[in-house]
Amino acid sequence: MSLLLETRELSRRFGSIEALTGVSVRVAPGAIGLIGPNGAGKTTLLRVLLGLVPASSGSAYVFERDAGLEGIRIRERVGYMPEHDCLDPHMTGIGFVAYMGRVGGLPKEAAFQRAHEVLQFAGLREERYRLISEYSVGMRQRVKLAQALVHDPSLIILDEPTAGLDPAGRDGMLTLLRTLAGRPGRSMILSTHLLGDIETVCDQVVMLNLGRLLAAGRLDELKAGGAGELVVRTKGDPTPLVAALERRGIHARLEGLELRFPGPAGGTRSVFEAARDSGTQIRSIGPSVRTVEELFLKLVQPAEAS
Amino acid sequence: MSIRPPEYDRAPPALRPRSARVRAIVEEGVRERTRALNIVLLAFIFIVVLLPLGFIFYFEATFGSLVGSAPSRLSLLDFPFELDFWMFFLILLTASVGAASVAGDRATRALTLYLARPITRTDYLAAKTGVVGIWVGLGAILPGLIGVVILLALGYLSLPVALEGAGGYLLVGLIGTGAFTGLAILLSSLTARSTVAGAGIFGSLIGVHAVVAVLSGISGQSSYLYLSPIEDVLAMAKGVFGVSGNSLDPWVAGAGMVALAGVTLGLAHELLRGAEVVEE
Repeated sequence: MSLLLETRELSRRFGSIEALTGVSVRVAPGAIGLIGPNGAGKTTLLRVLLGLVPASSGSAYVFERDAGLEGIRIRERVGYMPEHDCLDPHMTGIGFVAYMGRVGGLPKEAAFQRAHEVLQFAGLREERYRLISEYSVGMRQRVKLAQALVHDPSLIILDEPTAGLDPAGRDGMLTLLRTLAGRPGRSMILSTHLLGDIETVCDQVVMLNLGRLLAAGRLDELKAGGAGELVVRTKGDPTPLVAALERRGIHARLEGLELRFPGPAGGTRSVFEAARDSGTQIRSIGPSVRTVEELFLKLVQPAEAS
Repeated sequence: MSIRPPEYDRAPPALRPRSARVRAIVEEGVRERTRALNIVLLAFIFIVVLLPLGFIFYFEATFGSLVGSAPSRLSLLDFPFELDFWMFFLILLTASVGAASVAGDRATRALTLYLARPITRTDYLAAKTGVVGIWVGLGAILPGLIGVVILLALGYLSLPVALEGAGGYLLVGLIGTGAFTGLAILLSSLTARSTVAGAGIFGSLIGVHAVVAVLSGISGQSSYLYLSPIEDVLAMAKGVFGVSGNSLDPWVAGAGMVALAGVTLGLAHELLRGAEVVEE
């Protein structure tokens, strides 16, 4: 299967600041979450992928095109929704989205037709004829989403799409994003601090911190620990079970009231035997599945400590 | 009759070339100015409607009869350039139209959206230059052309003189438009505040003109006047229409304006290279 994007030892410096350092990642088409704290290099990575800033060293490819050389060809197939407000308040919603379609290369009639379709999809009906200056925050977010979709891009890049929305608006936006993520042949990069949004929408994730790649891959695999880790919850104190497992060569670590350890070669039998020997009652046992937040914190803390 | 399943999706239309994308920005930019019922329109209407009427009164006062002889007085077509208020309104038009050209997009942060589209920074700048240039050019060229047509129709000018005059207006108007537009785009690229940019455009054109006039008067050296785009336009017009008493070389003045346009647009392009597109 062809890759959506690939970077090879990608670095980008701004003066003495190293925004990206040797980032090598291969990402398949799909819904990709881009995660990282402020200053992680997300923005720089997006700028390089869009062909708007050149790499200091290394290379980046989107749709197997060199971002440094074919930025325009790449941007023809990409829709971008920025985090910040960027709409012309003096234009109507329909006028603005159609105009952005024309700047994206659509013929005038097609641009208006598409603008109506994507605004309808985004949930703006009669309001599309009103001036943007009269819109609420939620309506502006929807117009921003519509302008990113108007030229039917193969990839949409969304920067904090739920920022500033109330709970109902956030739910509505996430529903739209889930619909978009499910479209065949279309991909999405969702850059956000709200890790719950990533979990709701994305099937892959790229994590950055301090300009370096922390992790990348399928979300379910990363959350499962990748190496078949098990998590055990016990009734009462789990410490005797830790000692019993240790005697069987299983190195378990205690995280809160949970024990985590690599799945033993003989399956869960040895775990139950250790529980019997230590007199511990097991409440649950299963593969370790973390939340994205837990995974992120686990990866970020050692990186920051070093 | 064949039965087909309904088609729920259709292929998106082929994208048009970059030139069409630039044209879309120009069209919207020009239209946007017409929506803004402000000083731009007032200045434009004043220049394009009232100035040609001035021609009629001027020629009528000069020759005394409305229709009659067809004098070959090309030098009389320098008339609008001698009117201070015409230049004043042209500067006002440049400042009003040029102020928001790039500064407005920086203020609304729409610049991000433009540069994330499949166009280059050069395309964007070319489009914005086109928007400002069209308005300034119409203000600089149209009154003269309309005036020539009216004078020709009334019999004040012979056809060869009218054609020569129209060519003169085009030449001086285009070069002057380039210089004024370049300056406006550069100053608009320096700030996200349209009012500051507008004041800068107006102030720099008027201010430089005043300073070099004083310097020239004190030192007695007319070469200082080359530094003022306004003096350059007037000098070129005098040269093109064959008016005597020109203290500046019209072709040096013209070359200076072309250089000003090139340098200012080049600087604006460099400023745009540093513009953020995807911001934290």
